[in-house]
Amino acid sequence: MMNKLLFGRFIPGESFVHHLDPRNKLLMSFYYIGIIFLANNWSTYLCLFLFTLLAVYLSSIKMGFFIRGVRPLIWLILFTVLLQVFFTRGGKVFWSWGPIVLSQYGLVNGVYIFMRFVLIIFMSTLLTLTTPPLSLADAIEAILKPLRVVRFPVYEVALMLSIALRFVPTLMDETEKIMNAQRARGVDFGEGNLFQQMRAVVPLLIPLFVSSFNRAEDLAIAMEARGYQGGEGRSKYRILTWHYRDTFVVLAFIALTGILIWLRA
Amino acid sequence: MRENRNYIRYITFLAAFGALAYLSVVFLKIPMIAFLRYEPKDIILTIGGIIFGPIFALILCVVVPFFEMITVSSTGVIGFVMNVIAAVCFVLPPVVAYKKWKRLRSLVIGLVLGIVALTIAMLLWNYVLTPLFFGYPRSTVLKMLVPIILPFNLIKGGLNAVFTLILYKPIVNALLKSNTLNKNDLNVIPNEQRWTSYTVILLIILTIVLLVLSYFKVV
Repeated sequence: MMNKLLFGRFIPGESFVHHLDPRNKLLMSFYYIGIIFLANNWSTYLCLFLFTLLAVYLSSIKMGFFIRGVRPLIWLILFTVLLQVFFTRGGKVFWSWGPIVLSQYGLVNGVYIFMRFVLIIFMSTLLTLTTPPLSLADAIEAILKPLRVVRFPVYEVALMLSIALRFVPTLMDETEKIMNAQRARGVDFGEGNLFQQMRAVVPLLIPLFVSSFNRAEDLAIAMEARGYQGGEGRSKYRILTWHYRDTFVVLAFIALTGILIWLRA
Repeated sequence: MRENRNYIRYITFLAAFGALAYLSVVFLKIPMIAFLRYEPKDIILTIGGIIFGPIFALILCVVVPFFEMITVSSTGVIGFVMNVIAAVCFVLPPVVAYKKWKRLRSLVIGLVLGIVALTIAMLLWNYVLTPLFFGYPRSTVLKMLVPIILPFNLIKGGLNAVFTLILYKPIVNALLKSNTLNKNDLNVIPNEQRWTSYTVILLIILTIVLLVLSYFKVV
């Protein structure tokens, strides 16, 4: 049961990165994607690369998991890099054939783009590997809190996010049950072409919809019976605390930004 | 809280639909052309919108990509933004059309409009954002748009539209039969129409601003 609760890619651990505040991690991973566009020469990219490697090291998660994060996007990356390499002109020309030119700028740009991709993927992977989805939902609640001024229903959104995240493993179990039930009746899942696969999904989807509706209804009744009255003034089970190490990480990011601005061409 | 009961149910049903759509993304990602993948989540979002109204669908359009971002995707914020825009463009037209006229014909027209909106929006946003993030020169992206991104979005939208049409009736019937829902039961959102039109206007303004900026080479 515990195993299924940890869906997604979260890997439990006790490292420095695991213990950071999820609010901090979420904001900093957004910020990182912002500052990555500051890099435009080899020294800035090297700097970012070392920083990312340090973060990966501090998470004490094996490199393999990060490389696995790159794999689903490898075609996109290769495609982009090849486009860059062959269609950028300038500098020394090494080889050319019709409109395709292998030039110095093209090669350099290709390497930069490749680095940018890999770094962004590593940082997002780091976030999802070290933070359980529920904490991230809590973090979103905390980040959205200022929006209460414009009467944005922050508590309700956060509640909905955590219920949905809790529903996912339950519905996974349910799916498995229904799949087995339909298999016993002779449905083939995961075989044939796209259209056949989608047709096999129909007898799975409808019972799944009905059962999830029933669950939602039951939960609503249970919440009502316990007197749920909106989120105002409710106490919390998971409390987020800001430690010194979080301040330290923010400072490290500020320093990184400074170095990037100083080094960029 | 106004109408406490319906209000709680709105939240739990949102959560159930969000979880379903998320599961569909996790289990049914089918790779199509090179790096672009077909995702069936729009089907579930559209059906949710047909049952519970446009705001329901709009909230899900943001929530499901957020879940994808924090669990399975590795493209971070970039993927999230594109995902939200694609979902909103595809889901809103059929849902609004169905809400207004409650007919199969309006749903079909809405779905066709949805495919068109999805394709146009993805062409424009790819034109603006792809050079920013992947660093292609704009002229290369322009060459890529018609042979790759246009057919992919048409196929994706077309498949989703067909499956929505096949699936929505049995699901709505199952819902009504299982007594979980009576018609016009969950009107918790006041001024639904106004908020929907605000979203559409915001999206259009954002697109125009980004296009103008990219035309003048600011971004």
